[in-house]
Amino acid sequence: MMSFLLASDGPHVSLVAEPIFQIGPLQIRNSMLLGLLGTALMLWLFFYTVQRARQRRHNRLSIAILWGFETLLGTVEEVMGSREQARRVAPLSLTIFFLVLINNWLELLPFVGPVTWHGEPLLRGLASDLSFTAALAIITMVTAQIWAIRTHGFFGNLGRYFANPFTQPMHAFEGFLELIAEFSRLIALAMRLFGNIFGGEVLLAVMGFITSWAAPLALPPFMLLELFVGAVQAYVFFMLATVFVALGAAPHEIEEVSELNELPAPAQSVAKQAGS
Amino acid sequence: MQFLFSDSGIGGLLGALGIDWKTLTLNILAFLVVVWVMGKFVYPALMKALDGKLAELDETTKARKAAEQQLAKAEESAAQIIAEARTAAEQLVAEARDDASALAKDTERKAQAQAERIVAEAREQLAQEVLTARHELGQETARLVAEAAETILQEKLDGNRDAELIARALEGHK
Repeated sequence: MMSFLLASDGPHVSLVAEPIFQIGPLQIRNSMLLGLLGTALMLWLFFYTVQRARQRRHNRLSIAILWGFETLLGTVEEVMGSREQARRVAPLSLTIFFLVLINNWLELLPFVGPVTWHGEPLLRGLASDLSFTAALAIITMVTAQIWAIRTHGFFGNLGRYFANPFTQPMHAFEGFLELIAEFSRLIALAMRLFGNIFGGEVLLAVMGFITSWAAPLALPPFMLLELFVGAVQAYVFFMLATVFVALGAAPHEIEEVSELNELPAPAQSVAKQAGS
Repeated sequence: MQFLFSDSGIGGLLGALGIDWKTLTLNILAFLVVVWVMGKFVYPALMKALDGKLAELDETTKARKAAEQQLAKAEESAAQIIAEARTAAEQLVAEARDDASALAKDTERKAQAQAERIVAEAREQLAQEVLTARHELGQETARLVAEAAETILQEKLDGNRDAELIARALEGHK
């Protein structure tokens, strides 16, 4: 991140994650390497917590992780409205939250950026690679569709989007808008996370370049801000993923406004923000 | 979906943003694997731990409620026992007071009766003694009179003579 301090041609900013090496047809990017590290860290933290929970011998770390897990699981239960449904959705939404959170925080470590490989940064924030955020968005929206099909049936779910324009013109129009909304949600999900995290990286790079040798004093406030933004974005993605799945399972005869009104207050605000 | 990733149009835009179908697929598969691992080995164990904690909390809450109910019952029972004991004690005290009062009255009555009896006996004894004293006094008086008469008459008075003199005296009184 701070390698540009010694460079004279400005900070290194790249919209696309740089490829580091190739395995067969697969291109391994620097964002994937940090993602691998973040995933390994997340798995270690959770298996450690599971071990502690089984032994009933907790420490501060395991208590903090268990508290976070319990809080988010409670949120999923509130949004889904059912304990059983929440426990089916939780693996997806909770993994999104913890993976995104850990990777958002990992990218602020001093060695992410300065360490290079053939002139390219060896590590890069996972969420600052649009491939990853798009993958999360696709998985979320596909899950929401699968959930909707399980609830309404295949044709019932199609009925949310398609209707006879001659007999039900308003419904057909609403369905068309809903179809567009599904794609816009997908794109918004991917772009929001990518934009915030990539913007944070650029902010840090530019601030580091501008402040030059004073960067060690100037950057910490911005790093704290990025810690906060990283946590907020992880929570927003988690909440939106849960809300979209819950909306897919909601009765589609009811208008979306009333569907939103049935959600808990935090989910309503996030969903409205996502809609806008 | 291949057209999405071609070099022209949308494909060009996505490529400029760093999205190609191989990387996207790899990311999707990798994330799904992570979700599967977490869903299979991590979350169920944590949910079980949370359920256990909730069950313990429920049990603790139930035990606390049961203890509170038992405490309330015990307090109620203790209050009832204390009230009964107080009533019994008051009754006992009242009975004892009545008994003491009755005993005192009885004792007083007996003492009075005994005193009256003693007084009556004393009076009777006194009267008896007065009678005895009077009798003895009479006898003594008669003896003294006899002795005095002997001294005056210079003769021995026996019973017959004495009786004769008495009779004569009585006749003279008539």
